[in-house]
Amino acid sequence: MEFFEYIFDNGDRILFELLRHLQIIGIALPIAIAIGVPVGIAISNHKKTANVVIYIASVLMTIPSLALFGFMVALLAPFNAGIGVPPAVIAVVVYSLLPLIRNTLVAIQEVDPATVEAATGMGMTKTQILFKIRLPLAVPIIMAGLRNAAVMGVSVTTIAYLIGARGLGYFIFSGLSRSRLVMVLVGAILVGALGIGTNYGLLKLEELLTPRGVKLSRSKE
Amino acid sequence: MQIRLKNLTKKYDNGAFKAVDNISLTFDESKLTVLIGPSGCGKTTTLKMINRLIERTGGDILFDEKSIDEMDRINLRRKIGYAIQNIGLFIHMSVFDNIAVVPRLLKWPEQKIKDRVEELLELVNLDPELHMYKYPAQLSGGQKQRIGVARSLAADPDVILMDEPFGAIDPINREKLQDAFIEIQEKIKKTIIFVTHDIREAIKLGDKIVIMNNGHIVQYDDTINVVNQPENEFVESLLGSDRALKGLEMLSVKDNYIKDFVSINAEEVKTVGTALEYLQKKEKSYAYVVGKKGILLGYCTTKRLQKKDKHDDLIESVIKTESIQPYSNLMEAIITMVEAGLTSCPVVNSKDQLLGIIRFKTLVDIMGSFEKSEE
Repeated sequence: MEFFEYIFDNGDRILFELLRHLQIIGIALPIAIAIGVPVGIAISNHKKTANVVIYIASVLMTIPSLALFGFMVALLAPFNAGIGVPPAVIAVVVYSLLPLIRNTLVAIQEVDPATVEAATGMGMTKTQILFKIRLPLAVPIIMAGLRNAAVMGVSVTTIAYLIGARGLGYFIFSGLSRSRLVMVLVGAILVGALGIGTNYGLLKLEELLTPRGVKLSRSKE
Repeated sequence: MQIRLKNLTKKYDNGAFKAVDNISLTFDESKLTVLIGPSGCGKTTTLKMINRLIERTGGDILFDEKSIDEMDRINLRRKIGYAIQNIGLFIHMSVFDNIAVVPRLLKWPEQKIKDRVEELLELVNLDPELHMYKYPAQLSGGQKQRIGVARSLAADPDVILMDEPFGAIDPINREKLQDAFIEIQEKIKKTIIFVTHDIREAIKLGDKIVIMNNGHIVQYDDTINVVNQPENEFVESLLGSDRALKGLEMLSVKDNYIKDFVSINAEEVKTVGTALEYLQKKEKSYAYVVGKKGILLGYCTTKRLQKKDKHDDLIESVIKTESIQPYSNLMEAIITMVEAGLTSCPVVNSKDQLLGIIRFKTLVDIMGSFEKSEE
């Protein structure tokens, strides 16, 4: 009972924090795509560079999020951006890079060599092969990387409350400090639901973006 | 277009390995030339140097006496049709879009592209209405291969390169595709360079055959001369010991069937009685029965008809029979006839209309003539 009471009494607050949460992810993911996908494409031709880039991205991802926020607070302080939304956005971008770069790289590399040979032999330029052949075929794998990144973004943003970015982390952390379990529960449920919802929404988007022929050949396998 | 290879060479590892070693030959215009040899003989390398998927390290390739270096690589490829073993259809594109790739690269107007796609689908015997908007995943292996062939013809290139285009197909469908392909080439008369490792396919399809080994040309001649006068033991072993039979694969049914046969049109002759009278008048013991538009229904024999009441429907007494198409080769004819136990086999076109008959005796005589040339 207390649970629903809390939701009714704090509807505005919940909406506000939810929107803030979405705002952080909504700014960070396009930036991550704008960096990750081109980088993934660029390194797909250079095996050595690819190994180095993937290695760096993996290392970045192993940094615990609290430590990353610590760095950010210190590094961004001179620009007056040490706390609040900017470090939260940067953190989500950093964590999203590995899944996006890695999946783009794999998707581009895994296109059947016979397909690429046919395209080359028919007189397509490298750019045409990239945009007309490789990228359409890569959509499902890149989208899987994006989902991975988005779900991670939801949880990283939760912790970003601690550096003043607000978001749904408010309910969990404030609830904990005030020993108000109902608040923690509301926060946890909202974050969980947002994670699941984001994943589901992007899955639908993936279905929309994946060329029909690719879906048909996947369902056949 | 005529293609001439002049001292063509491809070296790897700073010349330590020569995949293609100083070969010179001319591919005749409007002819299908087969490159054949064991794997690693240089046949695919030679093919891919022609559309510059592999860059040569020496010599020259001349298109109507113009050097390949004077042509832009991308434009050159758009003018050369290309079909490969794993087909390489673009799975994210419909059949239409797959065939339309090169015309679109060449910026044809959409209506012209649409007309061309429909024309090509009909050429490869696929109903455009039914197949145009399907995706590769919805097609059988044989259908995909037909699309691959159609795609290589899309922009009406003068030259078509084919790298084992029927390699991944099961034997039965492969023979059908080969037959269909011979029929297509009869119509389009392109300069085709065709790589295979299957000597039967080479003999069946090739106007001329280039036999390669270790990067060299062992023999280059008309198919019939290669079969009848192999240059050396290597060619002989490639041809195998059953040359007389292989010779049959070069000859097609269309040049060896006879149009002198007795047929009954079931549209006119409806009863057993009239059919019997007709057979007795012609002094024949059997006749082929055709229906509307001359479509073959089967055959009937006097023996069988005599057992029936003469008012019975003739259709009921018709015995179904195997048939063969004009572009099949004589080897396939012989197999069909032996399997079905026929001494003569009806020849029908792709619409099942009866054209004539081919007799087992004719085939035996032809085989005999090959044996003589072997002695």
